[in-house]
Amino acid sequence: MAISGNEEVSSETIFRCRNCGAPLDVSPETIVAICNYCGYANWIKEDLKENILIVESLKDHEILGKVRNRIETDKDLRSIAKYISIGRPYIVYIPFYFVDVKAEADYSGVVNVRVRKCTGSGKERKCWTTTYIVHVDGSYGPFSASYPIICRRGVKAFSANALGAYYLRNPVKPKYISEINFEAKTARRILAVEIDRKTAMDIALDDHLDTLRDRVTKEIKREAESKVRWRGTVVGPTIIRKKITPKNIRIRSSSIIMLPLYIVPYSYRRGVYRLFLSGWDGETIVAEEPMKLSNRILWGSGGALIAGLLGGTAITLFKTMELAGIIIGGIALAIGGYSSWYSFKMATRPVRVEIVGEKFKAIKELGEKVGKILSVVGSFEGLVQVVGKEAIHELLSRE
Amino acid sequence: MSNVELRREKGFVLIKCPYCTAEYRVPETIKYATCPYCGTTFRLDKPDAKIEHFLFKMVFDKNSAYKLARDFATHQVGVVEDLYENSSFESATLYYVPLYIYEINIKALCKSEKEETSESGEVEIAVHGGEEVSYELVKAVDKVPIPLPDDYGFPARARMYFKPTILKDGKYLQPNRDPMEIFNSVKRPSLEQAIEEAKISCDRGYHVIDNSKYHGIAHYPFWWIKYSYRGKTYNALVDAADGTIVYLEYPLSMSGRLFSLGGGITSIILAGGIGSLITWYILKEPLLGFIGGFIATIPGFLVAAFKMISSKGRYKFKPGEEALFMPVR
Repeated sequence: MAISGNEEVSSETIFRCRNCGAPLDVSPETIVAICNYCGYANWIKEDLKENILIVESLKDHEILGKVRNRIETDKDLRSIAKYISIGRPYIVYIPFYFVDVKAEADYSGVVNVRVRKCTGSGKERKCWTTTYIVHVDGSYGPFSASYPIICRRGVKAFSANALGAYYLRNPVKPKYISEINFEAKTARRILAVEIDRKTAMDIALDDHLDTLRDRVTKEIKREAESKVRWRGTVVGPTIIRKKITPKNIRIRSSSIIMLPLYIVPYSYRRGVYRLFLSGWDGETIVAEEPMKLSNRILWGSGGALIAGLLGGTAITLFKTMELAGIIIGGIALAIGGYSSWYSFKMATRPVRVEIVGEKFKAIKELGEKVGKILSVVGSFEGLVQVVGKEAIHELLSRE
Repeated sequence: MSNVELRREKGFVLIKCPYCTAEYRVPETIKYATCPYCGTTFRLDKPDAKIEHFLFKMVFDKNSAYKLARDFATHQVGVVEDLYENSSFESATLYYVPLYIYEINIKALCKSEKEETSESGEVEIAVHGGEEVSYELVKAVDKVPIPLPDDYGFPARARMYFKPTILKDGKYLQPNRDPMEIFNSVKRPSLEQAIEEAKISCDRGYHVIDNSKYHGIAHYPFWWIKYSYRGKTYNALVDAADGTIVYLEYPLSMSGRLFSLGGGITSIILAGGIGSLITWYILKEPLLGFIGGFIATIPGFLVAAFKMISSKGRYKFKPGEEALFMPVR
């Protein structure tokens, strides 16, 4: 019995091997079921046979060799390598679409830009703020990006996203799934496709245009500021009205590509940690590592250092009793408080997670998701734009 | 498949399964019924509607889940040194928590724009309005008896079809929330966002195309583990599909708590010292700087204090902090 890729199979459906008639172990994931008795490959979702590409994986022993090599050479792990024992590797094939999106945008906007002007010097110096209404329009782009879209509904797994991002940077040529000589184990570790190509393209379009709209909004502000810069010092823009029309959008999606992800646990003393590796080259893409006492002390003291510096600076600024000093001091104190909170969270976390190659970008993205304190900092940035910069200039213009 | 036979009496519904003809009864408050003999699932208000229903596979058994929780507890700051030797497994309950799966796919297209329907893998759009596309998971029961975060997502792991045997293995929670009511509230923010985008995009108005779908139910397995350490009981919630520790209680040692709190206090003093150096140098008033450094370190100190305030430490997995302050899935 074979069914089409979109057809649902229920628990009542019974599958039997087409070669020997033995019952087959079929799950919602099964694309091809290898008979446990005769080894015959039974295609359950026949129409996917020529539509799915797969990146072949290294074998378990090759992956274990790569893991050993990493443990012996990694700057954090090599000193504890002799206490580490490596567990059994687990492989899973995750289906992806890779979607390229290219788009332009026409834009126009009306922006209030506050400009600070000063005349005279010394005690004769007088400053005031004027608001100009600025009209801007133009075109932005083309802006292009590639998106790995996991073909599974509702999946939230950092390691799977990291695998897709890693493949974009280090692609290898996949094969058609029908060209692979499956072992039963491999066949059972392939996750089925739950999202069609059209939906994957819609998801990528949504991501891309959200980014495009953010970029164009910044461009509108930047352009409005640059138009009045010759009149004085720009304090900040406020968009009164804007129009952003995405145009000339081109979306191209790959076929489904199955990427192998290896998860290898290792134990150090009494704790268990995991390495996540790309199956095709055995490179570690995400590593959990033990938090040493020295790591904790470093984070704690680093946080205290920054908090002390910013706290002391804040009080010094408060002492000026000037509006500008109080605002900048408040911002310094808030950033100091955030630094200490962040550092202590890092110091007390249960494991250290290293995102190989993408460290800063990934942490930035996650930081945006954590978002709470960044939004606080963001609101201060807004405050600075509205009131602060003017005040800052006032402060800086004093001798 | 023949039609389902339903008979209501005294708060229950008597059901004759259309597939295996077995008879069973369920409380009338539930929205879905699953035959305990053959696993056939259907909506009580629409018995003939086809339901997509699957489970995530339990990969970690109760012993593995307990070991994962115990080993993870040893990573925590201030945990007792002898947890490994002196803790023991007490009990484990497997919960199958039902989640509704929704696909939100809303487009607010400009008047002149047509919806693209190409399946070829390549699409060109001349002018576009707004769009919101995402997948949302919502708990299908009013009260989940385990501390599961609202934004917990699925793992990249295998699923299986319903098997009646799982009803004996654990607590299989029956969905009792109306999936269509939830659907509307889940869609609303995306609809508003797509319209907002179209308003700033389209010259001559827009039209909304809603391709959102309610896909069905997935039951997700979690182990609620109880373990003891020196006569006290501690709880842990372990994702049975991918081994993520979702919630964990662990014993803290007095020395560990004092050490951590001492570290927090030392940080405050260090920050105060640095602050006082700055104000001493600029203002010749070191006390003010000490106060500044002290205030800036309070959020950090509170992180340590909350972890150490009780003799029972608590860890909660927060999906938004994955890979930053939490392990990865």
